[in-house]
Amino acid sequence: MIERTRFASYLAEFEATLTLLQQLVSCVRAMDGDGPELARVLAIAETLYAQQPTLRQLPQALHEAYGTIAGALGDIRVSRDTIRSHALDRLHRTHERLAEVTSATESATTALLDGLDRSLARIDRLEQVSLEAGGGADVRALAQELRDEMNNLFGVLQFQDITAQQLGAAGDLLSGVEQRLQSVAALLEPERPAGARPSLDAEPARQGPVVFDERASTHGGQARQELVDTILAEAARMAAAPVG
Amino acid sequence: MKCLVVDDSATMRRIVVNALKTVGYAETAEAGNGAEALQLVDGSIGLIITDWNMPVMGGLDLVKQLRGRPETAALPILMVTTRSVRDDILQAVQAGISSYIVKPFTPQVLKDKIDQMLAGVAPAA
Repeated sequence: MIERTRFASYLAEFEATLTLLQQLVSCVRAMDGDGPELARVLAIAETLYAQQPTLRQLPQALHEAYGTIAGALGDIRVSRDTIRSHALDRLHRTHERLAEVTSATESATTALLDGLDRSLARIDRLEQVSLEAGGGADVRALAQELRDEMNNLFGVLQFQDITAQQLGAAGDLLSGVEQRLQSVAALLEPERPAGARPSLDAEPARQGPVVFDERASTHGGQARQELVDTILAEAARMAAAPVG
Repeated sequence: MKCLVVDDSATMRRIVVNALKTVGYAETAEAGNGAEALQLVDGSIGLIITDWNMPVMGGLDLVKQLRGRPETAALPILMVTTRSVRDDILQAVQAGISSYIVKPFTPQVLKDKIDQMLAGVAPAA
């Protein structure tokens, strides 16, 4: 417990230091070039140093802190610009490339479907001509084999729908990353209004309903259908079970 | 019997229509989402084959809408989708689908499911 007299002494010293600091600030504000104010500032500073010796280290400490902060601000500025000019730009271009791939595979698939439709029509025509020329059961059998091959190829082209969904999921992920990076860049903006703090935790805003299945896959179709059939049968049994 | 094929992918609609043709169902109509499908459903439609993920109105909402109308409450509805996790399947059953096919599918699987539905198997829910 500090004695009352010693405590009063500390208070008096602190009050004197604050008064000198106030005078120093007033002199600095009133300074306009060198003059009598500068001598007065220096005299007040010397008085302060005599009362509080550790204050001599304050200018050096402030200078070093300024250097560190200036360096950090420079790094932040570089990071913000790098995010804007490189990361966001590359994400945007990657997004465009994914859309380009989806469009290209859709166009190619459409062309293949058109080709298959024409082939099926030609098979019908070929079968008709062969039968009119005297062909028999073997003509029909061969024509049907060809149709089966064409129809199998129709089925194979389902890959386009599945890959479009996979690319949609990847594009959606990239959009989310892009939005979060924009939020980070905004956080590092020096002109950001005080109190305005973009949230990095909020789910990035999605435009429109989800039109893809992020788990879409071309693999294991038969096994997945068997699982579906099991669940459907189970659900049907439960629905048919008597209540109670 | 006319089948209504609902999918936002034009190529997928062509594939389903072709598969229907190979298994004996040549009369078809097409819609790009659930809302369009609702506009097309009338007494001539005997079967609906719908995708799940679509813009404007998805397949699940379409099924719920159809099951909520007296004239379509018993209409056979087949979900054809890439979704195959248990929760999704149960969600579709609860909505009122008659059967469910996972993409990629074969025409034989499609035929088997249609035959089962048209044989009078009630919706699982």
